[in-house]
Amino acid sequence: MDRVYTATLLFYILVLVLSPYRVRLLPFLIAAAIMTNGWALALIVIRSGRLPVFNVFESFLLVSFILGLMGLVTRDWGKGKPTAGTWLWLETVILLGLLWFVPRSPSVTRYDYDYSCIVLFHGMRDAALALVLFSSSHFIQSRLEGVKSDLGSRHLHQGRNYLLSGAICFLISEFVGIIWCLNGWGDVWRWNTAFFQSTLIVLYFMLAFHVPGRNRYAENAKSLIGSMGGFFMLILMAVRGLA
Amino acid sequence: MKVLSEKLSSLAFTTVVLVALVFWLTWGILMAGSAAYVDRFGLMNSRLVRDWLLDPEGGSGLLKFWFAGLCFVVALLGVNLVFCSWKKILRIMRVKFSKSKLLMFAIHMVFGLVALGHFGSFMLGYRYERVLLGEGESFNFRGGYGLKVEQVHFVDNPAVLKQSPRYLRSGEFHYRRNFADIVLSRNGSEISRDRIYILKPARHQGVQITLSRFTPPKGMKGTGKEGTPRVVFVVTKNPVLTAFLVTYVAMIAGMVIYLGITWRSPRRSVDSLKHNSYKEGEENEEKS
Repeated sequence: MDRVYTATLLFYILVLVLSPYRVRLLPFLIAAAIMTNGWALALIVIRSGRLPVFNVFESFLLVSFILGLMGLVTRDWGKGKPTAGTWLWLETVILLGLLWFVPRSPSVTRYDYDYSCIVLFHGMRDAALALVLFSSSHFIQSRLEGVKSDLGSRHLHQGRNYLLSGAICFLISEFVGIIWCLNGWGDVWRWNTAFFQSTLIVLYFMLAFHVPGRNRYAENAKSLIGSMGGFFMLILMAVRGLA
Repeated sequence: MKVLSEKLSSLAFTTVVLVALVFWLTWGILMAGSAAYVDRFGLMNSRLVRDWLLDPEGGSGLLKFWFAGLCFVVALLGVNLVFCSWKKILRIMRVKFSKSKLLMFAIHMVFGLVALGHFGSFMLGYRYERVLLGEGESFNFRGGYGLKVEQVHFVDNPAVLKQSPRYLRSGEFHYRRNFADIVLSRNGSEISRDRIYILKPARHQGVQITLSRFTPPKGMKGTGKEGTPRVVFVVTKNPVLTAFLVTYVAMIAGMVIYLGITWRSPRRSVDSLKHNSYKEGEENEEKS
């Protein structure tokens, strides 16, 4: 597992380094990174007999896989300077780089890991993280292009679209979590760190969508909050996963 | 009065309240993570918040202050929502809104209902946690209800129950095969018989009986299999549960539709400041 993980990380680093340039090899490198990433996930599924969504190692591998697919589909590379794709690959490398410091092994399969609400809860959170990280890459690019410019404006709008998509996935995950909590503990809410952290993420989404004004400063503030959204969520999910 | 109303309905006020809420929750996270408050939060979880609040011996004063502060900040957000919505209603009556703006307005309304439903679940109904019963034992609770355990069926080795449920692995505990047969009665008359499992509660007349875990049999020593495990129930009644869940789904559905109809930027190549990223804001609306 360690070797597959290391190979995945190395492939993504290569993609990151080459992404600002028009290199013919790049799509193949991305495909190789995604395939290695997919192989790591497949190994977890084969060995544990369940979906790879539970601990930080599994989740971040899945998120990097989704990000890789998004990067391949959007094909935003090779323009001689950093693009939204570059930030996407940087985020993927950060995500996988963080795994270097945590135990790189699948989670122990607990008795309720086949319960649909639990699987969906974790899976939708991972999808939300991937979408929010993708939106961050657009927000970062909008800042580089200038939020007033045509291109910057498009990136800002795309960032908003993916941030909203991420928020929806996160809310679905929260809803499924509510059903899980209701069936497991008889209530829709628990007063503990995990629930507060989830609420913090929801509040962050609300903040990002309620920045007042529409002058240049307001647009900059929106893009700044959007740029940090993925990292904010990443940190909270890592902290929660490692607790 | 008009100035105050403008301020209370402004996006700037929303932002200030949201930032305050972030700080308040961060304080809550720090408290919940500290050893001194783990048990106190546990006490808060063990009953309805209303009962916890009214009980003078219900826990730490600081925690109650924190909860009151949380309610206060959320109430400010509610005030902001009400003022903002009222302004929008007046505007809708004057000018025709686009579909996306009407939808965004509806989503905010539904969000308000979700928040109310959430608060209602803290204050309404009842909650009995850690109701420990063995075979043949019963528990009476509010409304003349009675819960009796007829049979506990446990197929695994009861020795595994000595460890926390959190650490039970799939091979050693089968939550779909272990169950309890219960009888729910009201004023002495039987109203239902149910087989309940972990993660599969029984619901009747708004009362939910949840099997939270099995406990080792009385007098169990070593890893022997003597005796039948007992069962821990949570008995709850939340009169706003259905409304809360329905509005939550409606809110998500509304957001999905909103995302769909606003995915494409209406003015792609013109002034970027006029793009539709965050036009739902009240202030943006005034200027457009």
